Amino acid sequence: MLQLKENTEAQEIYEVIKVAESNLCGLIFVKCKDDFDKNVQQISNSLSISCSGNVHYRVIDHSGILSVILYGKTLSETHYYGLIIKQSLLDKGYYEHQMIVAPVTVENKISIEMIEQMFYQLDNASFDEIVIFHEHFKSNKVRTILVVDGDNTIRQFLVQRYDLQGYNTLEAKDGYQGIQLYKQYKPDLIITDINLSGIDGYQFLTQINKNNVGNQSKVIVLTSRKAENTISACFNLGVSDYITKPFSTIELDARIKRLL
Amino acid sequence: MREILLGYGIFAMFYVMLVTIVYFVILFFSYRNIYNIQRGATYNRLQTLSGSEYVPPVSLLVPAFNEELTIKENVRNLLTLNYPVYEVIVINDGSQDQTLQVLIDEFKLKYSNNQAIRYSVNASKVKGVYYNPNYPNLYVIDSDNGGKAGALNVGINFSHYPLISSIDADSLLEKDALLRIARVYMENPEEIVAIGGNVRIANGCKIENGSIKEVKLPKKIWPLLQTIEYMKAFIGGRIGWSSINGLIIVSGAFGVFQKNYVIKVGGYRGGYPGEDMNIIIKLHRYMLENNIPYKVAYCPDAVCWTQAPDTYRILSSQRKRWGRGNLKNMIENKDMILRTRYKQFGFFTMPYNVFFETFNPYVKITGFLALVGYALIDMTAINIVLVFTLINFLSGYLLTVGSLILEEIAFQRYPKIKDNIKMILFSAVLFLGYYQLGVLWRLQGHIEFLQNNNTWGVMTRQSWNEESE
Amino acid sequence: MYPTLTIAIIMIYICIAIILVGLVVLFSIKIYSMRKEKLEKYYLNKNKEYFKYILINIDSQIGLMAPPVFINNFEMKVIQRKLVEWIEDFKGKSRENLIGLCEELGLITKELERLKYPITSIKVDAAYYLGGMRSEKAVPIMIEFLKSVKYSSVTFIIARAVAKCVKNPEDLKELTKIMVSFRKGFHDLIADIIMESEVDYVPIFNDFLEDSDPDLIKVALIVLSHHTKPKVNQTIVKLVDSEEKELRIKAVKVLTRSNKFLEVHHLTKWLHNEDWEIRSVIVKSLGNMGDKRAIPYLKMSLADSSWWVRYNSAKSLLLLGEGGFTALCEAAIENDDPFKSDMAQDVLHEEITKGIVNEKDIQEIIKYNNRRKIYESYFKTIAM
Repeated sequence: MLQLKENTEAQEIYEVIKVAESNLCGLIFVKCKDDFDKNVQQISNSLSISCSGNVHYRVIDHSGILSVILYGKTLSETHYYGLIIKQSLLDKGYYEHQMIVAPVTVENKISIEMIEQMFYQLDNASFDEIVIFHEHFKSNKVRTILVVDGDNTIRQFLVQRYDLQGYNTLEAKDGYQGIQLYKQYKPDLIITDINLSGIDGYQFLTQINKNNVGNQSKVIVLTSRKAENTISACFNLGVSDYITKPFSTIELDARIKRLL
Repeated sequence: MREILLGYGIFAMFYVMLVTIVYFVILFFSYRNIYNIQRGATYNRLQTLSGSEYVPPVSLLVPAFNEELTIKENVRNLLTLNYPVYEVIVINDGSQDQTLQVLIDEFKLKYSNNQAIRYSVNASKVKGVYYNPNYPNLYVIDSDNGGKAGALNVGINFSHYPLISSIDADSLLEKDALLRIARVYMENPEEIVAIGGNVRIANGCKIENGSIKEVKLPKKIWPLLQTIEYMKAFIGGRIGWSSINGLIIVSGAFGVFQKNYVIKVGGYRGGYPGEDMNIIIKLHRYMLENNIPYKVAYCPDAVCWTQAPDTYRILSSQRKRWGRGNLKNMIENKDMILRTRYKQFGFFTMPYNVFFETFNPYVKITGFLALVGYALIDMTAINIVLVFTLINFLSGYLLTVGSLILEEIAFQRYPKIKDNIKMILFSAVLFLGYYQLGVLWRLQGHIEFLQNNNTWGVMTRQSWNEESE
Repeated sequence: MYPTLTIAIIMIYICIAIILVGLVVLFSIKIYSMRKEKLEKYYLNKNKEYFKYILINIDSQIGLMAPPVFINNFEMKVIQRKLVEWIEDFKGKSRENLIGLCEELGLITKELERLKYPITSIKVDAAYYLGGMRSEKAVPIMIEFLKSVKYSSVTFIIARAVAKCVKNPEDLKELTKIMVSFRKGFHDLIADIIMESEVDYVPIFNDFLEDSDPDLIKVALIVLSHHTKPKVNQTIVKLVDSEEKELRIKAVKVLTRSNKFLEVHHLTKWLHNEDWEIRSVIVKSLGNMGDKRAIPYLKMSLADSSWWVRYNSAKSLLLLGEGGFTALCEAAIENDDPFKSDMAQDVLHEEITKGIVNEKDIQEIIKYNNRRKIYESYFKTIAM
């Protein structure tokens, strides 16, 4: 019964976007525990100040969800409005709300399944985060990427980024963990630093190379080391690509696409 | 008789005050230098340097004598340093235990007889070199027993890079330690002939996969006292000495040298302990005699964690050995004292070490005995003994507090306030018993030297795993 | 009672007083730094979602926006530190966005103000962050600052900051000249610092080769020797005959990087050079060039008086296919020079025991098996 209802909610939102024939828009869903009306008021107030474009609100009363459609906005803009909404709610002392943000673009077309998945992810969100919607493919075609890097920022950045791009990601903070995860999951791609703790980078690459029958797992080295000997040693150990830090995110994306 | 006792006692008291003042001057130099050091450490991105092609390659020399328990972890630790180009050369110094076999098994090394080794300096005889191409930066050399100096010389002969670094097999380097040293070295590569790292006590710390995960104070009393003692020497003392280019020692546990100068002074001297002090004295001598501008530098943010002796027996044996080595070095180089040719080293470092380090036990003990004797004759003079003890205590305590402040300003390795309180309290113990023991051990070391007793004494190791529970 | 004792007693009081003051200072520092750390953690956590926004949209086409709330000074410093850290991690659009954000947050203006403070430690801090934020506006002031400080670790902090900010070749030239004028021999560090800049440094350092200042030439040679394809001209060739040994060696290093200009017969004339460093560089590059004509020369150099030349000659022969390997085997059994045969034997032994590193590389397996056959035919023993 409930399932059916949600379906119709998804249908409703879907229709709204379809009718507007907008190829580019941002979606924000907010779910509040209590004081729903005041929350909605607060959100529309804050957006009316900060957001210049065409905004559409739709309240789903019984499940306590407000959906906001921001026409013509990209992910980064939508994400930013999400931040504004969150902040304005916090300012008013409304701490218990869940939020999800999603872009609708030419590549990322709107569908009822997508909206349903958004509802699902919204339910599982914690109060202090803004969830960025990403599709969970169920097919076997999903590629797995293992990120091995001792630098927390870079590692988390890569994991987050490729998660959002629809890859399955694994992370390891040192060589030991890296080897373990490699043996367990045989990922399609490994992005690794060679300056590792526990096991040194060469040793890590050697072990991967030994176990890598038929070259199923591609390896990209992402490191700050620039010495020529290091680079050639890595290629001798079967590495597919070598990128030095600082790196360009767009270039890295392209190289990954080429390999997978 | 009474007058002589009193007079001598008072002389000793002034001696102690003078030592305190000298210490103070050194501490002052440390303070003056600390901001510069701190700036250098915080405003340089190590990650940029770690990938640079301009960082000089280093050969790490690790002499190992009966280290089967710790050697595996150590080599693993050294292989994962954050440094662009380096090699690890372990020299098995004729160990009687399984040190060599442990390494061969762990790293699947293969033997080669290596006849074409260079002979830059006199060294122990090489029996073979072990290598595995899967560990391209690791070499293990098997040599006849020649003591630490002999083993280091073997490493010098074999090494491929212009900088060498001596590292004790019972120490763990922090991942960035070598890079931090290289940063300082690169700022003055022509003049710096040797540069030392900071040695800290690892007992009590949590160790995982060959690196320090959590810094804690040791639980046992002997290592705890040494922790405070090391902090005082390395932070309060060496920073100051280095700022006037008067360092007499770069710790054998972790120091980096320009190889060509080490070769020019004939490498390490064997036969006596204290080879780490000896090489530095020789470098000072060589550079000053040849009028080459130079520096013996110190890099306190490059940290090497070492295992301190945790029983009375081992500690006393270590200190006697140091006493012996120190005396030998002083006698060997007495000609440098107060000679204009040897500049700051001849006028400051050497006299300081002879009069305030080597003679220290004699003056302190005899001074104390004289005053006690005097008080025994005239019981009303008991307060003079008291004053002597108090001065001794307070002056030492003061310097500890000074060093702790320096540590707090620049390094903050011990995160909890509880640790500071503990260190403050135990520094009292340091001066109410531990230092007196130190004086005694040094004296015993001198006696051993005169008796020509030249053994290494007891040295046993625990494995890192036991240590981290 | 005893006049001398009074001095001692005064000393005791002084000591006690200083100890007490020291303890107060010690614990104030400790408490202050613990507070600061706690506050920093709090703000990092508070801005967690904002940081996530930055990292997810780091290469967004429309740039990054400032946080939607009021930010106090301390918090701003925490955010600044993060941003500057990330600027170093990324390049391209991401870096541009981060720098744009710093500008929008007013960080660059603020640090430019701080750079004019009369207190050195504040100026150094400002220079460091301005360098991180690649502020071109800061360059002239920072260059003046660099000129005014005495040689110390601060010098390098400022220099690096300048190198990161310069956009104009003339400024980079001036920076190099200032650094060289300290005459302290840190040429490698200068080269490392220069690499931080976005300016095309090659033409500048080609010009420096013509300079009369040997230190400047040294830096230029170091910078160019790491460049993939240096333009070799007569200036460098002339430097090989320089009076100063370091210049000669560095010049040869640059020359050997560009194999276009050099042929085996060009290189071999330096095999009898009096500097072993030069001979060593030459035999190394003879191997890297992969020209089989170098084999007899390398075999000859196996008997060089310098260990390094012998070692590199042997290593180079290994790079020259089966011909080189055979030459090495011959040298190993000849007994005219024990230095030569010892070195050859060692390197051969190492090569043979090395086995096959990459077991999937068919070419390597074939190469290895061939070498084993040659080895066994010379030494009449089964290898390994």
